[in-house]
Amino acid sequence: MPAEPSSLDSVDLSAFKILDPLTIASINLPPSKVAKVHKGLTTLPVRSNSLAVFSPEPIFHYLFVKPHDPKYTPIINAHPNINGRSLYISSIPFDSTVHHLRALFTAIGGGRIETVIFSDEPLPPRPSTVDEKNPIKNKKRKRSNPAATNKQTAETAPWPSLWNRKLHLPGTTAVAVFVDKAACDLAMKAVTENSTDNPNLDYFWGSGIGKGNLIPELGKTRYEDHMERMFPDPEWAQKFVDDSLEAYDNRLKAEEEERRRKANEPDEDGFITVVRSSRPRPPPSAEEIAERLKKEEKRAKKGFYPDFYRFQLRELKKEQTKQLLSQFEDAKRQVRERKDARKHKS
Amino acid sequence: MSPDLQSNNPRKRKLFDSHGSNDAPKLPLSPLQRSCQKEVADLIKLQKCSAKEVSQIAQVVENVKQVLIDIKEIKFDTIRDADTMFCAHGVHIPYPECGDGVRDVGVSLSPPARVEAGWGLGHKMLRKSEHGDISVDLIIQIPSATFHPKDYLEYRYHRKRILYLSYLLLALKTANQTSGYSFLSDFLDGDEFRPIILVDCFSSRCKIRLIPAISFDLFPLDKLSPNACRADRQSGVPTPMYNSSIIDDAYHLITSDMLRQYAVSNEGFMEALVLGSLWLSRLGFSSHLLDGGFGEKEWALLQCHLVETTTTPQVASRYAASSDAFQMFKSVLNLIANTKLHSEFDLPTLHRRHTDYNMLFKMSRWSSLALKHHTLAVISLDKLGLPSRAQFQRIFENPLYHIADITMSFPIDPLQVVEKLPTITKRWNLKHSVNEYCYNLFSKGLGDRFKTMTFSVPRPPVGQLKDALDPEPRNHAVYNLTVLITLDENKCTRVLDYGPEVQDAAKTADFREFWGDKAELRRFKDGRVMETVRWDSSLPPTEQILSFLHRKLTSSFHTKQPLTFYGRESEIYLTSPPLVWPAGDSYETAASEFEMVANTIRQVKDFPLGFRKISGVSSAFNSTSVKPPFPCSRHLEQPLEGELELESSSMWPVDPEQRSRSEFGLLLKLRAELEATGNFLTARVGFTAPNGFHNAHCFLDLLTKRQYYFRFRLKHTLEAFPKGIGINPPTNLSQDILNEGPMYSNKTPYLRASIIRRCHQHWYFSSSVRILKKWFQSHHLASFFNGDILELFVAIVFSQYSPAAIPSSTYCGFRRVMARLSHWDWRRTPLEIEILRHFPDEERACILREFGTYQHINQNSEACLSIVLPGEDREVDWIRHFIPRLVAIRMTQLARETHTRLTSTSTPFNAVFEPDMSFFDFVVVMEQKFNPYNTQGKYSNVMAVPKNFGSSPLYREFIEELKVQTEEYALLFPSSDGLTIGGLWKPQKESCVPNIEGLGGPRVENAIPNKIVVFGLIMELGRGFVDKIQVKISD
Repeated sequence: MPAEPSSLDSVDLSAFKILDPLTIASINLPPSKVAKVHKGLTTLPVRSNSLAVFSPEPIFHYLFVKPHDPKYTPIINAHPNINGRSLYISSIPFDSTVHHLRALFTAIGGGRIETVIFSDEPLPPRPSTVDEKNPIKNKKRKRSNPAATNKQTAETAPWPSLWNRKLHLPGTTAVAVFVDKAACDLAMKAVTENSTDNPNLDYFWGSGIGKGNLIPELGKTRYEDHMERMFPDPEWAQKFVDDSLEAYDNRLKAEEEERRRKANEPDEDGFITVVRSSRPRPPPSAEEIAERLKKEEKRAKKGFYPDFYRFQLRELKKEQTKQLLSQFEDAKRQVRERKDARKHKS
Repeated sequence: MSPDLQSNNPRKRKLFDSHGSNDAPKLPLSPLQRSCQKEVADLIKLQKCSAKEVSQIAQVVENVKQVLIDIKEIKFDTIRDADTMFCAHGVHIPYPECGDGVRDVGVSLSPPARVEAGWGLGHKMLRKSEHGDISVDLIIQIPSATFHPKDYLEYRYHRKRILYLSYLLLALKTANQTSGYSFLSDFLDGDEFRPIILVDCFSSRCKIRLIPAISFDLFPLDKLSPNACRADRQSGVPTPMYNSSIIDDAYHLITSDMLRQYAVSNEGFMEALVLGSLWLSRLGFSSHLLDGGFGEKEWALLQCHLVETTTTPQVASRYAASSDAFQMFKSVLNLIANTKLHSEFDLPTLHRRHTDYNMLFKMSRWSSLALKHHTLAVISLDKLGLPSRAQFQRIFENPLYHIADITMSFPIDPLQVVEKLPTITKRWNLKHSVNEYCYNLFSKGLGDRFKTMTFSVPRPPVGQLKDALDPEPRNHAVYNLTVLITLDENKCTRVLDYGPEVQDAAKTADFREFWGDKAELRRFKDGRVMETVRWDSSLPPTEQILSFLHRKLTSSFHTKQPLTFYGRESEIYLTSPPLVWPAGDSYETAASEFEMVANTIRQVKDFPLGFRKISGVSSAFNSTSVKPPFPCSRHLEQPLEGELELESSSMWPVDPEQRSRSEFGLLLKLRAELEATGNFLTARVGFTAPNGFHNAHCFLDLLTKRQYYFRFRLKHTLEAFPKGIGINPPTNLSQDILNEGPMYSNKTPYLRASIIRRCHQHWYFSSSVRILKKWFQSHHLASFFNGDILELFVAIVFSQYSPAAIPSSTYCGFRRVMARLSHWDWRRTPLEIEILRHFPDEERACILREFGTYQHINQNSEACLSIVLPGEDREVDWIRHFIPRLVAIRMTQLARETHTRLTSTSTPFNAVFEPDMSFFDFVVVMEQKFNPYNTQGKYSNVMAVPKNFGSSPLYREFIEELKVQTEEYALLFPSSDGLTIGGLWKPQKESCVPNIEGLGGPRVENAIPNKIVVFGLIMELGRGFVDKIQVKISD
């Protein structure tokens, strides 16, 4: 059994060299080697100083940008008015935020971004339109219960986030929605101008975000924070669970009531929906069992009355007649047999 | 006795005569029997030499034979004259000095009476040896006129035998037909009484052994019984070896004739002989004295004996069936198992029918006991109910067979030991005698702790025939003696040895003389007073005993060198974590602390559901974690996982999300109750959300007052299988496969648990698991395998349905697992774990069919390691573990390397744990201050309650996230010690980037793999963890 390695000395790294500026320069992909347009998307190089500890030279990350066509996509439901004012960005860095992209487009002279939609995040809810804000009162419409709506929200309330900052998975794309079409056009123009054929672009990813937009740090502090977030405050947690389970119970009760109501009310065509009880009957309580037993005992004591109804008397008479007939037939047979036996003897 | 001379008893039927064969009732064979025979035939075919090789060798033999037949007669007045003449012609065969009793006697050397090639050559049954060379025997009958009737006394026969060999050698050296050949001297199977000549023909890799023989009726063989003194008659000491060597020479030609006859009449006889030879050679046995003295020739003799002595027609017909080679093989094993020891010499004895020829005369005690043990192990397979085919596979395809529990080696000076040996054994076969002496010593010291003990000694090199006399006697130099011991797992760990009672003065004196200061007189509760030896319980007693015996053996040596254990058990214990943290019973302490917590939880009254079971999930509770569990100090480290199984209830919500919230509520309630007890420093409820914002997994963390940190998860009947079982279910099963059979049944975790529980009954199971886990960790593979899978790997070698004994040392367990993994082709066969029961042939065929169907459907970049467990009621349970194909290949490659390196005794055991970093494309070196191993506190300060998490959980989270972020570009191999992360670039491919525009939108191909950005990502994400990144120099 080997002794536990106490230091790096026990690991043979003779076949490796430290990532030095020369090595970084040999691996780094400069903009001059990257095509300006790749499969219809314009390449936008972005500098990064994440390897500054090894080399003062920046490394390049490449974004691929094109005007966004939101037709027939779920985004159009979330943002109905983004036609012509959004850009589609592929190969975004893993630590991208709205602030990063805002700062980027500000730096390259693009327009102002209203919002950014990332492919690995849920779409924001659709904003209510004027019609939805003032709905026409329809008498036939089911009565909605605002309290119930709130409780359902509590039931499906998400768990608190475990991370202070969302990191994007490889292959995530983004749609940057600008304030208007002009801003979007300006941004696309800036992207084209600052593409790989422009060697003067010196924007560093993450710079110019502004002090007001605090973005949590990566690294050790991120994981320390994550471990803290795994254990929510007990009081808050109790309330979260109580609200959630209460809302869930209420929903189940409401559904049960609705089901029962449907079982008693005819629909528009006059039919009554037959529903089967979905929930199993609860087990009988001790009192119920005792009552049932008492009833059965009483019935047993009372006994059975065979001549209570007329048909019972009628059937009784029939049975007696049948019995008499069979006895008569038996007696006749016995007499005949005796006679025959006497004849044979003689 | 030749077969022709056999008695014509009408009640006995000869087995291989034509009548016997024809009369044998031959039943139709089932398909499985036919396939078994095919396997036997395939194996035998592999062992045979090709027809071309055989014809080449036959030509060489014919040349030599012709020269020997045409030799001219020579007469000498005295033997002294003959010696002088042969020396003058450059012919001298080395031979130990044996007196001058016949020097002045005249001798006449005439051509051989008969020259016969060994039985194998004529029937194309020459077997390839393990080392690649082929040996053919040429038996030369010395004319009877050369000898006097009393020449069997006082080495006279042996002296004239050498003279005759010199006569043959001179003829061969001077003949034209054999001019290109070289001639070497050797001893017949290492027996120094009987030198032979080796003829080396350069054109083929064959060596011809010229073996002198004598006529059957030359000497009165009945006067050469083992208890007769025929060599040094003045001493009066019986000379069994001397006597038997003369008898053996008299039977050479008879045996050869008999074998030839049986080989012609029956094919099964020959095939059984090949099987036996193969089995013996794999176990390390051969006809050579130093290899146990039981090899191909002795096996053949036993087969002949079996055939001659079998009288029952049914059995005879069974043997006579030409296809029953395996049956005959097992019959010979039965014969060996029933061999008895000589009452006087304690040596194995089995005489040929109606003769005084002991066929096992070369065997020593150690080899006979070891062989008997191996034969009983094979025979026991029959008693376990295994079908023939399964038995055959286990015997001949089992790589675990000959791995001993203890392999030790030490230099030995035979001249120092010779003083302790009897006079008769001093001059002849010294190494053989030394082995016997060591066996007597070690077996007496170990008592009933061992099952078998075998010795491996470097064979003396084959001597060149020099013109001058060699002044230095061979075999007297210091050499390394390797001892391989198989232990009895139930007795080898005993720390107290009982000696004789104090009343028995003679035995007590003997005991005290043997054990010296170690012997202690003890009084027991029942009033007996006995001699005892007590060993230190903190170290393996077997190694202590062997070290003591080694000291005793070498006490008189001038130069003392230490005893070397391969995979020393005590080193494994000492250098493992218990040395770092001097808490040997830390596993037990953690288990008792867990029990305390479980009892506290059981006593909680106001809880909606009762607790059915509270069990520990962490491997630390099974003593199979590499690091023993220790209390936290300063920081909270990785918790010990437990499971709370609740009583069943119909009130659980059907919705999984609501169920997890209900669990969260229950745990909050339990936390409040436990906090009120005041038994815990902290009690917290937490959650993780592997699927984003929903279906959280909740847990309850408890820190006891002794600072043991536990994490409990809830388990209830609605769950398909319990949490904490890390075996990943198949992800990409097709619907057809799911319908066909249980790919991952709910019972599997329970079954696995029962198997592992059963294995825990074995003393060395947990330590074997620990060392295997350590091996996986050392080679950066541990993150791809969970502990359950590794425990199942180890469980394979603890199966009773194998001829190999249960491992009785960690080293042996580890070596056998490596051997099994290195031979496992996970692409073609599943790993079968036959612990609870064995798989019958039909079931095995079904398993292979099912496996083939599954593998055919699932051909992707991931490798599927399939493990089959025997279920109840003839059911089979599958565990399918998916890992990257590259990792599976790496595992097999490393296992093969390790297996090969451990086979060589020169490799230090530690060397197989050194990682080969050159495998990786780049290495991420972590900052030393965040090494989770280093930050472990040695002792806990109970006053300071740790609140924050230590580096180990943080490191784990970091690795998880890093793997997700880089999975498209690189495969990461994090080390468990937190020092380095190896990385391999994935092959470049045009990966499609999923876009936000849905299925109808355009797809963009990201064709630029940017390695430098990946390095940037690692540095950004690992800020505070990562120190530097190193890339391969070739990059």
